[in-house]
Amino acid sequence: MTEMLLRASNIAIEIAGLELVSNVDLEVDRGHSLGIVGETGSGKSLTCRAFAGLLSPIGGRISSGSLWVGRQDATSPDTHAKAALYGRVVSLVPQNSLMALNPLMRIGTHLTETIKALDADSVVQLKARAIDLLQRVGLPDPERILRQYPHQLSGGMRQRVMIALAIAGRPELLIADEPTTALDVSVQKDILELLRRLTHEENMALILISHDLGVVAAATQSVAVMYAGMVVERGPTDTVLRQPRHPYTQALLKARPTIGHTGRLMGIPGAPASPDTWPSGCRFAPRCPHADNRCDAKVPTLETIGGGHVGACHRLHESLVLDLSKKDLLSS
Amino acid sequence: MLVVRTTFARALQIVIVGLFVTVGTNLLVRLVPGDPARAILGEKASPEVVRALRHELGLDQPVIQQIARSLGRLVQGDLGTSFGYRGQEVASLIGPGLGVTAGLAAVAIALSLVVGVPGGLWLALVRRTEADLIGRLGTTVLLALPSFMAALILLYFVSLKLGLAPAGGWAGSWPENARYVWLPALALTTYLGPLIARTVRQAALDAIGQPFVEAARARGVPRRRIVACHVLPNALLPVITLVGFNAGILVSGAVIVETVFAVPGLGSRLLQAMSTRDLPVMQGIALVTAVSIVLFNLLTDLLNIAVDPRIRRTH
Amino acid sequence: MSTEITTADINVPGHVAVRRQIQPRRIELHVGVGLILAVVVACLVIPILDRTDPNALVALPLQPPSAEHPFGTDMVGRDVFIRVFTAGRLDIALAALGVLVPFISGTVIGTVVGASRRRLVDTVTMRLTDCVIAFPFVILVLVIVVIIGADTRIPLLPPGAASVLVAVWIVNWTTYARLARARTHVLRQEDFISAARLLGFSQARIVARHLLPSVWPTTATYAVADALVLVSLIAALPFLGAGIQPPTPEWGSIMYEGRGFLLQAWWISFTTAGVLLVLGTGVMLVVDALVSNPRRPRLP
Repeated sequence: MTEMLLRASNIAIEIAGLELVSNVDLEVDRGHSLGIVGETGSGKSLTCRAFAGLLSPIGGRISSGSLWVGRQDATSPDTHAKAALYGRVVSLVPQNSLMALNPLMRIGTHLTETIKALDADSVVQLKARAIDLLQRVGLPDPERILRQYPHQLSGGMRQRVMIALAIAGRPELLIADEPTTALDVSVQKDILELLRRLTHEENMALILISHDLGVVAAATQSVAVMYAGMVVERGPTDTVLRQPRHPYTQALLKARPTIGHTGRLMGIPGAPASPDTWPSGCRFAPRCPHADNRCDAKVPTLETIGGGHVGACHRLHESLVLDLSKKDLLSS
Repeated sequence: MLVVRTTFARALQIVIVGLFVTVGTNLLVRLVPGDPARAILGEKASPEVVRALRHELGLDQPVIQQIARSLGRLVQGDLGTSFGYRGQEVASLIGPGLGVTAGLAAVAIALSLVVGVPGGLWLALVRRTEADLIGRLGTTVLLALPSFMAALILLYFVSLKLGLAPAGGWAGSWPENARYVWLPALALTTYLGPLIARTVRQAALDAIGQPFVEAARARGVPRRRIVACHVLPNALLPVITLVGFNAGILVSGAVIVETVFAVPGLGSRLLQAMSTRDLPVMQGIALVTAVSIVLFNLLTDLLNIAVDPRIRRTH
Repeated sequence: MSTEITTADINVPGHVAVRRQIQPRRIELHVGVGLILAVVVACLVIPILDRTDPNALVALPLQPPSAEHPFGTDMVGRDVFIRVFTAGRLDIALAALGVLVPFISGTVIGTVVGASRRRLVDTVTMRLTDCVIAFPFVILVLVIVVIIGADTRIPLLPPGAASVLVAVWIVNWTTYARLARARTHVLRQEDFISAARLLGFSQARIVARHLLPSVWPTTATYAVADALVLVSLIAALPFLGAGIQPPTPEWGSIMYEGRGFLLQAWWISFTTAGVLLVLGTGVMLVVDALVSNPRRPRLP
């Protein structure tokens, strides 16, 4: 029996009157991991800010649809209820670990202030709990790290600290926004492994945002592909990445270099659409090799393909399937 | 290591300041057309006084020799002798005044911090545009107000009209001076306070825009703690540099404000020296204030090293 | 402080930059220029419209403001209104002269030093300017004023003006030189300067044609603020026994003389202070508008 931790139904997100994300439907169950992929400006980070309750600082808001986090309506204006939500039920690992830590504050203080704010039971043994958190994210010599300042740690260590901070309130859902983007490849792998291990050990759900299909393939069970503020394809990671049905997903996979691949990489022609000039029909239509009259006229809705796999394309059921099963993607 | 290097750099600056005063005045004196002693003292001065000054300035010797002589005396801590108060040592004349001016400046800095830091933080936190507008307009007008005009206005309203403070004078010892010092210090605060408020406001807004504030909020740290522990320390950092940078302007203001309130500091000494064209005393005051300011800057350098962990690392 | 204006105002992590065109602070600029012009025009026009000699005894001493004498009369019975606006001509002219010379010399020196490849030239200039900055401006100016002597004269200017101006010229170029040098160092990295060097242009041509046009706006912005500092300095000098000698009307000496009569006749000092404050506020508003950085995030 599964418990739903997050349910976004048809949400749209607006900043300064501009609708940047439209009609997003996503669900995450306990113990489940969801990847969100898309290129710059696709709305993936904005969507996860909405999930983490961080829209208001940038002047954004959920303009329609409903968002349930845990058993709470996250669109309701009840700030008190929301305070119990963020950090405790849902927690965020931010993008840039150097900027996300106060340069004038020791790592230990970051941890203790968070424990004090989130975890009333541990206040008596603050230091022990802080050390325990650092150990759980695999940091050696935690006593020393507690006394250090952010700039004294490497990028990978800082990212581990960010994860330790994120799990301090024993959240049920962890949202990681490009957690590995700023890191070396070897460190990336360790961080992904850590996220996978932690979510498994603590029975947490994970939402992983990335523009890197390899990262999502390595760490998630299902994936949602976003383009121009909309989810265009969604399903089990394995299925979506091996048998993509949406032309955008296909183009994205073809644009990706793999070991042993010798031919030319296929770029996606054209530039991503901009929020103030969304096309009236399918937003990918101007760049889509298969677009026809229908695509310019009407926005496609998500349609079932089978096995939890859905896609938003007028020509979804035509024979545009690209079989990538032979490509060595999932093992990279 | 960094501390040693910073201290050495400031010590070097003190040496250069000493060289600059000595060489600069000696050269400048010779560049003035005609008889420099006569130019300094004016047409009405008696021949004996002019002759005394000629000797004091070393005009009867080659310029290089005179510079060497002045430097030699300076190294021994001898600032020369006043010719306004015949025979009196310049150092003993300006010593007490230096203490008074330093006290006034210290109280002014403290008052400015007390007013400016909470004020600036408040301006950064209230999002209402009226408060922002009033804050910006208020600081603009205050920054445009010269210290001596602020002193006149405070003298008139606070002292003469309301009788809340003496119209001037000095007790001579602390803490009795407090009664006399606060109004002149407030006059100086009209400049430094708004400047600090503006800096804190801008730095606080910069800090609020940083991802670490958002990250702290996302993990449930209470707003009050975010302001006190994340925004405030980062907003205070530039204030140290600002106060150090404005030390010279503050002393300039202090010497003028002192003359308005008849505070017996360097300003009053300067006024006396001006009336008798007492160049050695003025030179001494310039040197002593410059060295004090460099020392104060050393203090702010060290304070910066102490509070910002990043500086220790990057050097 | 930065004069740069960013177009990406709200930077949403996740790479959505919501572009919003940012207006320079137009209102502040307009109000500031308006206030400055009001004082300058008043100083130019009022002594022409009312040809009363500012040193003439026109009424009883210490008369409060009236229709006849809008700013009252001073302790000997001179019209303060006429004196203040006549004085304004002198103070503003002196400040302009005091700014102009260091602005030009400092900008040129700083640009040349900044463009120079010789370390020694740079080190010596910077040590010298470091040193000048360590002194309280007023005290340094006074020492130089004493050395130059009160009897030195510049044609058309009243007694006392020459020594102050020369002292300011000697001291003040250093700040402009520092600003110009810093700006030049930034510009040196830019492609158009590298290109000019590669084309084999002479150092003099690069400085004059390529660097100076980009350097002077920075120092000019400072010059606006500096003009206010100089007006304040000139008005402060009488309090230290220097500056323009009475009876020549000058803001500082009017306020200094009025200081002894604050209780009987506040108007002598405070009407003068008011005019100076209007001018000062105008200058500060212009400076604010020129250097403002309009990024304003919000606390969550």
